[in-house]
Amino acid sequence: MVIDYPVMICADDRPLGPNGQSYADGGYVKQQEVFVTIPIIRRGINPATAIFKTAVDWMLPFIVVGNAVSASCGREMLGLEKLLAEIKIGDGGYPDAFSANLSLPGWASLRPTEWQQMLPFLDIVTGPAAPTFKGSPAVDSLWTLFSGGPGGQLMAAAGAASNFVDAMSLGLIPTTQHTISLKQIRDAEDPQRAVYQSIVSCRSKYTCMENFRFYNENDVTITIHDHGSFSEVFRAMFDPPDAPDPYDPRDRPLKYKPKAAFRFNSTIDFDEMRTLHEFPVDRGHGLPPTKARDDTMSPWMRPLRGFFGPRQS
Amino acid sequence: MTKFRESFATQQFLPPWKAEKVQTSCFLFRLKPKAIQSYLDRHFNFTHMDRAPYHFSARADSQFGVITISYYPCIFSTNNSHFGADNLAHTQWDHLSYTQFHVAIPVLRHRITRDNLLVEGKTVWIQPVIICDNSSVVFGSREIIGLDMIHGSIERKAGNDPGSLHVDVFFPGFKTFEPTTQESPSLPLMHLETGPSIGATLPQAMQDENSEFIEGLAEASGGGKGLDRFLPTVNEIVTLKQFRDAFNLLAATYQAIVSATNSFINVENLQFYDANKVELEFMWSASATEMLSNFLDLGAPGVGRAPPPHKGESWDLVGRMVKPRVAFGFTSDIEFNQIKTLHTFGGGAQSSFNRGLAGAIQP
Repeated sequence: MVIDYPVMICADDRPLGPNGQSYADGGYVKQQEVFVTIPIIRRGINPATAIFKTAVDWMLPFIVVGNAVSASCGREMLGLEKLLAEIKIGDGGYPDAFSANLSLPGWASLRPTEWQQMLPFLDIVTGPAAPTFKGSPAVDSLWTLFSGGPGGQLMAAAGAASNFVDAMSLGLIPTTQHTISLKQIRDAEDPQRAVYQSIVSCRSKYTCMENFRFYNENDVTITIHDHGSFSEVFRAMFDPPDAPDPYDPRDRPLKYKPKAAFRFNSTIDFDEMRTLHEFPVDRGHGLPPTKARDDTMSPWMRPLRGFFGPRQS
Repeated sequence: MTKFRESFATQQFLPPWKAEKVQTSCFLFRLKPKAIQSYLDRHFNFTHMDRAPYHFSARADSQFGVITISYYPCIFSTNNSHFGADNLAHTQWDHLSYTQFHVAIPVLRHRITRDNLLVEGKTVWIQPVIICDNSSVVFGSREIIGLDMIHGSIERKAGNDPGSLHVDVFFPGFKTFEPTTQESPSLPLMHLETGPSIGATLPQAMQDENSEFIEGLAEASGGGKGLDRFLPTVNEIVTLKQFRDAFNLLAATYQAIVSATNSFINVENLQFYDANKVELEFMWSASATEMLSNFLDLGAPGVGRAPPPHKGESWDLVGRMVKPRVAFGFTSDIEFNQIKTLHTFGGGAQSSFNRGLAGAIQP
């Protein structure tokens, strides 16, 4: 996903600033973000927890932002492995088209003499928004499903429907994305060791969705620059056909066609940050190990547990 | 101990580090001990679940800070561990260059005995303001060492005069705290321009005029004689390493006092500037207020002079001049190592006494 946030506001109105001013009144931020998100199932490991602790979560194995403060906050507060990138989002060369160019600090090869530099990492370019004069999509294209009137209306109504479902079900029916990440802190003396590890969750809720545009997949090209220190990233996510010579500094662009491509405008609420589970950590140095703490709970069970369960400190 | 789970987003630039041919420029300025003590009490002398077995205090005599601009043309990790699918050594990889601006302040650290006595006083350095233009360095410094480093941009180039230096520092922030203010990715923070280099020796008149600062620097840097008074040897840096809780962002899920050592090797090319000809100016913005008012004790915002017109519209901020007392530069190699966690807050029965670290950090 490529997201352009024209206005990002801190919604915490507690007086947190140096002059007793809330962050919400302090101003707003613009940023651009690129990430890969994958749905996963978090399962309980016995019959009881399988019922009460199973949930659908989303993990973000790759996330980069163009805002340095956002990168540090995401890494240190939520454990998101954000990297700082140069992200250029453009409008392509056609009506309602889209383009994005992403550069990251990296090493062109793994030779000992290689220096870190800003290198192209990912390029995305689309043709015009569908329907298009540049040919028909594949018969199994997602666009064919939504290109008709009823399908398009269904997509446009999805945002309002999710609001309705969320409100009427008191949050019992999950309609939003809960992302999870491993938040961990390196030991200063031995950086290969951790002094803190936990699973952190937060919620991304998309509302007011509008202005849907589909692209013919045949008109979309995703180019990854598979070389040097970036190869491990692509091996973890895309499974490219073969690994390049790690000591060859030459760029090896690989082109991919997506299975579906679309864009939309929406409002995103980012909230409900929680520590789901703290792992017991052996900190060494004569320090006692930290204790495990667990707050994993299915989303449907959480409000019931809050109402009937023991008081949480 | 528990193993850190590595990924491509966490594996770059692990300490210890070694840097070669670092070009460092230093500008000493006066600081009030009260401002420094206030910072130390907030960051090191606090008591929550427990208190660290150390007390940090401002130097009673000549209290000063050092504005430092360093260009690292070659810095690399000397960490011997291996990582990644190719099982690479960090020593093989991780070569990069960057520029850093920071304010370093010498302070006193005493160990607190079980009888509540302050013993084993030693000069250590704090760095309350650090801006760096490389994100790998920022992430490593913040997440491993606990340095409050901000990613910004630093323009460092030759000035108008022979051998002079021109530095402009920018950081992400808000010009004013208002609901309609957009964050600027490059808000001006500091402008510096020196006069021409005046050579490898400081004229006696300038030494006499600023002897208080020169002797203070010599004492904090190892007590050298002659020109060696200006050159650092081994500096111990202390930081408060802390991480916010994900649920309650006003609470810390981890807090520790961390110590590391900067060793300056092969120091050469010492050159001085006439401090009276150095134009050193901080630019006042809402985001810079905490740095300028609390850490550098530059007073209240809104008092200063209008910025010089040549700086253009992006420098449309009120400036505040700072008078440097001594200005010099040198080239050296730097080794950043001997990293230790002196105290973990809330660590229960642990303490630095039990870990035998007290002896290791004795002067």
